[in-house]
Amino acid sequence: MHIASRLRQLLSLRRSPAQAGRDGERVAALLYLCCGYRVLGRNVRVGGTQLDLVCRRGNQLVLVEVKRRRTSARGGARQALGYDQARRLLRAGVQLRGRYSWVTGMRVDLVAIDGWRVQIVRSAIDGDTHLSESERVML
Amino acid sequence: MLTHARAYAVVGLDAIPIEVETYVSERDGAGAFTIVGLPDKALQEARARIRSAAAAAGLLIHKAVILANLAPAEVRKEGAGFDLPIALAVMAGFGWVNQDTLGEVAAVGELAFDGRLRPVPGILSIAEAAVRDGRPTLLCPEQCAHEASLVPGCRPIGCATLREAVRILNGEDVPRPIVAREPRPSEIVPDLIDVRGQPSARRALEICAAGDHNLLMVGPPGVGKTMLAKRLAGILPPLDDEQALLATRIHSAAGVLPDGSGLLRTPPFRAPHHSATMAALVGGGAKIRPGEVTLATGGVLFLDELPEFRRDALEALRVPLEDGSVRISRASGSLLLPARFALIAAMNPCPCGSPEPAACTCSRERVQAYQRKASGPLLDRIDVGVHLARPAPEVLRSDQPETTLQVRERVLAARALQATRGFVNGRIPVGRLDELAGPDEHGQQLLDQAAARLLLSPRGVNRIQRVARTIADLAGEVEVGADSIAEAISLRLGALS
Repeated sequence: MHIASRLRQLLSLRRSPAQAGRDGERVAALLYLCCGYRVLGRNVRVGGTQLDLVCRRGNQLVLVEVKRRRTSARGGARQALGYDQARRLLRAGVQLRGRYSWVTGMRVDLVAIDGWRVQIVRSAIDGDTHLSESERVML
Repeated sequence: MLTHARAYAVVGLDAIPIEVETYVSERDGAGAFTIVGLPDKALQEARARIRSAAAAAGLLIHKAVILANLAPAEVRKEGAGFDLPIALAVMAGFGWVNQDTLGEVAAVGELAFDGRLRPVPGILSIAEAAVRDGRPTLLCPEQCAHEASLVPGCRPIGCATLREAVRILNGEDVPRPIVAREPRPSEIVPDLIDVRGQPSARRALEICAAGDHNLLMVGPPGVGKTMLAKRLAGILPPLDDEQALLATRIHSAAGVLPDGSGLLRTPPFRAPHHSATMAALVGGGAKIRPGEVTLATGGVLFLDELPEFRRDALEALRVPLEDGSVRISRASGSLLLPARFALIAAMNPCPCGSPEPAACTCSRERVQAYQRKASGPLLDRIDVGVHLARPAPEVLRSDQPETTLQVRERVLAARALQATRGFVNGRIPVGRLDELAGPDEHGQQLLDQAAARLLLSPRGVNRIQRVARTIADLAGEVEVGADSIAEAISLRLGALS
């Protein structure tokens, strides 16, 4: 079966909200795989922060946060990522980066899924808006 | 990748070289842009301007992780003039600008969101520092290029946009020629012919203009004190090259140089309002800014309504009046700024401002308190004082006063005489006073008598000698005779009474 329709199918099932979220994470993992990323882990815990997806491409570490909402009303999935969570993700990324010797760069992406519409926001979280000056220097 | 660019920070009237180092670590990352090295708020915000301007130039940097360091780290960096050097260094980090060419030039300019370059103050100081630093090529906003080109040896390249700067550095564009901007028509100074009557005050004004002496005019409101002072600029000689460069640099560093004015040839005329604070007059502030005394260098500081000024502000004038410079010390450091100006002050005889002394309704104490504001030590530094009285109606009707041009001719002739001696009369150093402005026998006798009778301070005697020299110069006399001394003494007494 074609990959796109498989993904579409996965997202069109009637599910509980929790299960729908897990579907979203699977879809995101598949998408990153298709784009040539290696998926290092799913639901990785780093110092109390849950990372939905940890990927690698070349020497770049890519953290992915997946958000799913039923509709795009009331802001939709893109708006679901709040300031505090963004900060936690960035700091977890800095921590995680220390564990791999190959890392030269890091970014945090957001996969926003409204219903079955999937959107990948690269570098969704930036150090300028989410980190203080001293924290930014660590990036 | 580590890249460098050269910027300059204006400190007082000078600029010091600042090394901009940038480190671009990730082109596709968590998007963090950090500037370290004591930047102020305006410089912090350069991050937003540089990002946006780079995007306008077609170069996206907003996902990169960038560190910019401004060295030496302990110097406080202020203002938006660092936008261009930082932006260019960042672009070199991305490989969009050739680092080798960037390393040889100096850059200054504020960026707009659409990539245009905006002018910044202090270009003249920066250009001088760049030449001293061995970087005669200065990338700057096009509005500033003409000003920078006034510095000998400086080759400014005016750019309209960040993109143009990048293209010039990469050799894709040739620098456009520098066009002298249309100079603004210089302000028309009103003519002395408008002032009727007041022959003694006109004479005093002429002497002060000829010799850079300090003048105090006392008279009831409306007799022409302010009118005379405003017409002084017309009879002053133009600034010579050295003075003009200094005056231009001061105005440039203070950010008050009008657009496209080129070298300031007309002597500055500063007339601060009497609500001015001490810091406004002599300079100061967290970042030390030149005050009115420095801005008036080479020209005139006019204090209208002298007693209305704050006492501390007036007393602060004493040292610059004597030394021709002022040292300002703040937490951020201490600076010696030039402050060589002629002081022209005007005041009413009493607070009620009645046209005749007989009609005055002020109490004795109030008059005394008012006049005491101009304190002894300050008055001691004023060489020439005149009282202006209400002119009679027939004088107003029939007086045929001289024009600015006629007076100016005499002033210029007197100045030419002084130029052969090497000093303006008001600035002859004490050590050479007797040699350059020593009175003849009769004059000396008169001076000695006056000093003894009138309890003149040694400084007072010196100042009388200088004024007498100017009076003799105006008359075209080689020797300073008793007549000149006598007039100088009477003028000085006018200041002290």
